Amino acid sequence: MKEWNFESCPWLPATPDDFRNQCQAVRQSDEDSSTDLYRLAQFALNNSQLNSLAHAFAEAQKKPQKSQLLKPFRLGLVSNATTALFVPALIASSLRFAISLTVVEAPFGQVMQEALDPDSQINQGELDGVLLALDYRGLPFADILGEAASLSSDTKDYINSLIEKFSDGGRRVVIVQTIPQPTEALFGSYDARMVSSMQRQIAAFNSYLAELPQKSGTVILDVANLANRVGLDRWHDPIQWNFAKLPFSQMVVPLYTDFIARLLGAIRGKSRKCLVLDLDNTLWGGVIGDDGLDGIVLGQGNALGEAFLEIQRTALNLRKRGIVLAVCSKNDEINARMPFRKHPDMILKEDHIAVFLANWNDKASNLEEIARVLNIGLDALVFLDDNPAERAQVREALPQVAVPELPDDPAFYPRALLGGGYFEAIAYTPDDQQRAQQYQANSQRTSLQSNCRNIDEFLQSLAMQAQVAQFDQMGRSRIVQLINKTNQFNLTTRRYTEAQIISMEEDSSIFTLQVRLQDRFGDNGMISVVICRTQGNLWDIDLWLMSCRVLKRRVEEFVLDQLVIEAKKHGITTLQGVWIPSSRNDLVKDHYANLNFKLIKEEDSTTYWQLPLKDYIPLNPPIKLA
Amino acid sequence: MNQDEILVKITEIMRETFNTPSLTLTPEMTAKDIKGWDSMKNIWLIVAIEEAFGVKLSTAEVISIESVADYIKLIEEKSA
Repeated sequence: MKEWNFESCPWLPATPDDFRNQCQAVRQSDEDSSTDLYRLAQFALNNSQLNSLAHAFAEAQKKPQKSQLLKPFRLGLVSNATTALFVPALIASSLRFAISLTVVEAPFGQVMQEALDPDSQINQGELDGVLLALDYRGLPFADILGEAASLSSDTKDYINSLIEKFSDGGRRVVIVQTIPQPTEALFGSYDARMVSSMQRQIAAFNSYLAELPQKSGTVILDVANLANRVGLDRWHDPIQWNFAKLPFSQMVVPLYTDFIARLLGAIRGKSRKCLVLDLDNTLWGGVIGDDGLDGIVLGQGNALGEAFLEIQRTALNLRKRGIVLAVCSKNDEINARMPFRKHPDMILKEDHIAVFLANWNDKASNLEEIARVLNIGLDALVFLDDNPAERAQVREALPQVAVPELPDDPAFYPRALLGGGYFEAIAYTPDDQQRAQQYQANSQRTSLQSNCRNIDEFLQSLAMQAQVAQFDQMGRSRIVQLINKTNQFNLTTRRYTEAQIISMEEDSSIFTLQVRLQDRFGDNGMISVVICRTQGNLWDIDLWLMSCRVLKRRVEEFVLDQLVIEAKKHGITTLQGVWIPSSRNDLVKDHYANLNFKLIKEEDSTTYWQLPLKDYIPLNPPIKLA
Repeated sequence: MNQDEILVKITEIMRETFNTPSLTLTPEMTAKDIKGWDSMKNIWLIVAIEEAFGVKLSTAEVISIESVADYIKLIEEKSA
């Protein structure tokens, strides 16, 4: 068996032999190469292959790029160690998560200067985020033989003021790294008891970071954990530190940059939402159609059976976290469902599966069907399948779907599934916890819809009710999440950070709205967000978005009715809206026209609309205000 | 692996590291003969060579390297 080697990103498929030629082809092509760059980034690339890809990307940047596949991100890099050597690898790894990354590097070691000087490269860089990659060797830790507390107030002040300056009032995300332990223990095991030992000081520092309030706009990159997994003696390379102040072995660069890139992906709302599971030899050992209920391997008392239990447990934990589960298997449906119904050791039950497809169609078509039923993009799917041929077919046909490479031994499947960073999160809201339930309810609604004669009847039968409120502390993280990841039903695609939202809450010239929706199948959670800016007696709709889960339910009509009621209370006479095309929001091109707004101006494909409120007739969709 | 084979492989690595696809190497060449071979890129080169040949160079060995020939000699010794 091929060994599981965490360092080489084993969940990614092996790099093809002609990889360099393929990079060369991209460099020479005059076409938009976003798709090729994205595809080439999906392999388990080593340092030099990442560099080749970064070169190809740099070349491609010089040509006009029409595709919107890659989302831009401008990242500042601040460190007290050498970072220059991993910048190309970071740019290439970001392509893996469909991020077109620009890196602005602060001069070596000038951490505080970059923070304080308004003209510094970081402060002038128009950045979306800053990565604070600090090495313990440059932090103001106390004397390790002293009597200081485990974390000095100097260190706290230092890190707090860096975060504050770099976040620039919340306009930038600050990514802060936790710090790996050094390998040298002065006393040995007693270091664990010495309050001032480097080990204790670093542990205290990391805990302090973990406890930073989320609203400070910080995101944690847990490098300490990454280094532990690699092994600290492997992570630290004293020769490379002495030569060039490299903070960790260059061998782990591909892994490290992948971990940064997945976080950038999560910040851009690209984390995946649904895990699609194969059945035979993925959730149990053997083939249910051939081996029968008694023949499949699953359950305690057998090491292989235990391995499959662990895979199911992992899937169920993901579901508890809010990841939707689906099944895609080549089987007769009756056979495929049998273990779920009758096998005593099954952890996963039919209730946990939002879409269950067992048939003899090719898997790519079934995956498309799953995405359609759940109303999510293919780029929200992860597909777990033990069969290398099926994996290859899906990767070829649907490059947007993440398909983790699996080792032969199912004991390692949970590592592959969780190691790939497909479900990376930067926050966890109550809505996230209910997500799986909500999607499942959605597929039930879809089947109800086919039983109703017309759409109005269907909507009536849903018995929808909604709550509206201005932004508040309770809803804030979900509001920020929606603002930063909603692409389709989003009129302006303006992105705001938590700090910016807080300042809007306090600004009396800004009117905000958050909308939650329930129906007979369950709670959809928060599904719509609106921000209006007052201009005299007009409200300019700065932002209007809606979760696609509640499309075609006349929710937007309900929201407009509410908006008009509120506007009139505030003495407003006109609502103004704008549609800014983003390549992904064609869905709402006619949003304002459908709501009877009049087109007043069109500029660079952006359209401006107005609605006078004097003779407004409420649209009264079948949604009750709760 | 003989000296010629090592040279071919080093050429490939240097082309990649210095982003110079047409680079031609001879053993007597030193850092100043090769565009892009600065102290930073040198670290890259060492790491790439260690990775490609499966060897690890010590501090003293890295300091002693001046020419392409030095690399070839070290790799030959270490992978023998």
